[in-house]
Amino acid sequence: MKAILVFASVVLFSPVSALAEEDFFASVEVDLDNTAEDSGSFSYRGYVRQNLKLGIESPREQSNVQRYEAGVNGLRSEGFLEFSGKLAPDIRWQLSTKTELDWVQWQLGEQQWGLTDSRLFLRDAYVDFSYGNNWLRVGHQVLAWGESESLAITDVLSPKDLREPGQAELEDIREALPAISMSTITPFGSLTSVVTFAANANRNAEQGEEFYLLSPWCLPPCLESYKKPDKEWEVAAKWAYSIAGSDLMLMAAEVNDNEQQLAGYDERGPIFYQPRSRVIGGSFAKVLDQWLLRSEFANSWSDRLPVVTIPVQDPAPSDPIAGFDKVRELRAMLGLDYGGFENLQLAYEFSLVKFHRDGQVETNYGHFLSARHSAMNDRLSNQLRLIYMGTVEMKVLRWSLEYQMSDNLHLGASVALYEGDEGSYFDDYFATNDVANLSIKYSF
Amino acid sequence: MLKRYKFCSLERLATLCVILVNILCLPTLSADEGQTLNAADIMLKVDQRYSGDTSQATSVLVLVDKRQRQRVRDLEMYRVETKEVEKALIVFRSPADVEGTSYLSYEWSDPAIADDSWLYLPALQKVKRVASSEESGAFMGSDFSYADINGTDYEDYRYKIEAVSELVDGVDCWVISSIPVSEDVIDKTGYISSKSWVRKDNFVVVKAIIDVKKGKQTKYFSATDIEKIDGVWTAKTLQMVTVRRGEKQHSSVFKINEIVYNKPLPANFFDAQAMQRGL
Repeated sequence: MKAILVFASVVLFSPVSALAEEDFFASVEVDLDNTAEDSGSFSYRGYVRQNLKLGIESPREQSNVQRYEAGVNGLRSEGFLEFSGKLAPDIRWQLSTKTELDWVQWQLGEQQWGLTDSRLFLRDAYVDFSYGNNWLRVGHQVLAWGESESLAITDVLSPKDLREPGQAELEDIREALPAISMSTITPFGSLTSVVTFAANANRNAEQGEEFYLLSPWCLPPCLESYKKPDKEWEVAAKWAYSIAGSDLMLMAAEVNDNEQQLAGYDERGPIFYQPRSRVIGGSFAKVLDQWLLRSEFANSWSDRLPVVTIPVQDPAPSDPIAGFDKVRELRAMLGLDYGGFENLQLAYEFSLVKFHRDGQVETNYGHFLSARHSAMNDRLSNQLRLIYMGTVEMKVLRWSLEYQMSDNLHLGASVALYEGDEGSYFDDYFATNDVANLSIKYSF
Repeated sequence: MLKRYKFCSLERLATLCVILVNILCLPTLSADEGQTLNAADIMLKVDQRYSGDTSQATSVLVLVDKRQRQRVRDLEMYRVETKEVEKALIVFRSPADVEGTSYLSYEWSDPAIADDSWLYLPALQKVKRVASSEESGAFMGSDFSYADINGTDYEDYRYKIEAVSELVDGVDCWVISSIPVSEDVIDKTGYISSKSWVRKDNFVVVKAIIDVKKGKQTKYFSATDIEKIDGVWTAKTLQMVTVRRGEKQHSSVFKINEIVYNKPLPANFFDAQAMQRGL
């Protein structure tokens, strides 16, 4: 018996283990035929994505949406294409577009299949010039400033896509705008100045869509309209400096507010307008080992809105969603990120919006919590986001999952749950817009 | 053995590229001088190395799962080192969904100054400062952990020569074990112990076996295709294999396609502006 045990141990633990150990040092076979080749002066990339949207709940009657029951709420095909290249060592260009095709639409409780809507967005269309420490970008571009992920504080330039709040992908949140952006690096930090023209406002849901903000008051034949700003140009400047593990930024801007306000009514319906605002603000970020502290503030002053007094046939709503003249507003955020857990990133933000309206002061608070976990060597990622916005008394809980089948093929799933403060406008009209999204994306 | 960096999640791969190049750039040592060294001396020599005042490289990181499915990341890496600071910039060229993502780091010589790291995501169009992450976590999904990439402090380990001479690919090596001096080091790095094969001629670590605390895993590191480039010893292929209960779980292979040392690099390469405008 003893001999058998000795023999077994020799066989199992000597040559075999040595061979096994050597085997793990052996070169791993890899196929590098498909690695990126030097693209020279031209390159392209893109993706196609198919989204299936499922309404989890039956909408409430007062929500005035066309969908009357739970079920398929949308089937969207998306395509993104980006070209970039170099005209010279210091001159680069980039052009990108995005297409959306909708294949499902609800009309008065009836589901219709077929190409119901299509949209083409121009994203990037710019040329970069760099010379030493100076950089000039001219054309259609995204301008993203600030630290906050939940509230636009110093991020006053690029409008946002708010058609489906809490559901947009990261790359789709901000919209591009025509601008000239100049930046220079100095020993005292970097200076950036921007001039834009016809930048537009935040993109909101349209009549018939589930997050149409005017649904209680503006039903067909009512139709909202938008007044062109008196001044279509906008200017902004910022100074940024990094020192001792910290980033500091100060900015000033004169812009047309991306959040439209109600200016009045005509015979068709409400008229919206972008107030002219002057903004001063800043942000600060500091790393403390595995913690990142972030903060941001901005104070804005807006011109009073002209009120249109043309009488209308239908009575005007008694409590319009935005019928006040915004005069002064303070926005602030304090955030904390933590990366001390293995493969888990945590972030929290507390935000505040304080505005003065007709001599009164109103303060609203917001919270943002995010947890992101990756597994299977980053093939699988989970993210949970919880947003509470006191300004609209809205809570959104979004869980999303992405699985990388390969470098080119990604599967995605997400659920967005909406809730409003009891008795609030949001709770009455949008709380049943809970939705599940399934997607498949091919990148090239 | 490795320089100390702290980064978070995806972007830390940048450090991998720079650090792994650095660990292989060592001065030569005469055989007589080598015979009188103890384990601590040898590992100190490994830690003290010249890796060029600047370097720029194109490389590929391949992640291979147990089903032999590959994921490939193409990278460009730039590094400049002065007395005060070492700056590194990594730009991802593929796959398509991370193309244009870049990571910038400043490692200051003065220990009183915290290291700086920033990440640029094309999807956000914004440069973000990033905090450190748990050192035992995986670097961008690879088998290299933050502890591998950031490096472990020389003082955190006790060293012992396990074998005075052992041939690896025909080259004579010391075999040296490294044991953490405290539980804190184990908790921080996730490593219980490691055994390294160090070439006697140039102090390159060519093989290592690392016992991992979590999941009772073992990692096998190897460095091959070692050649002198611009006077600097460089391993052009680095490999890390994660094994659990004798079964391979996942592998990562890092290959340098091209590397140049001591070629002047523009100072404005290592700035947030460069990350946004692209190189």
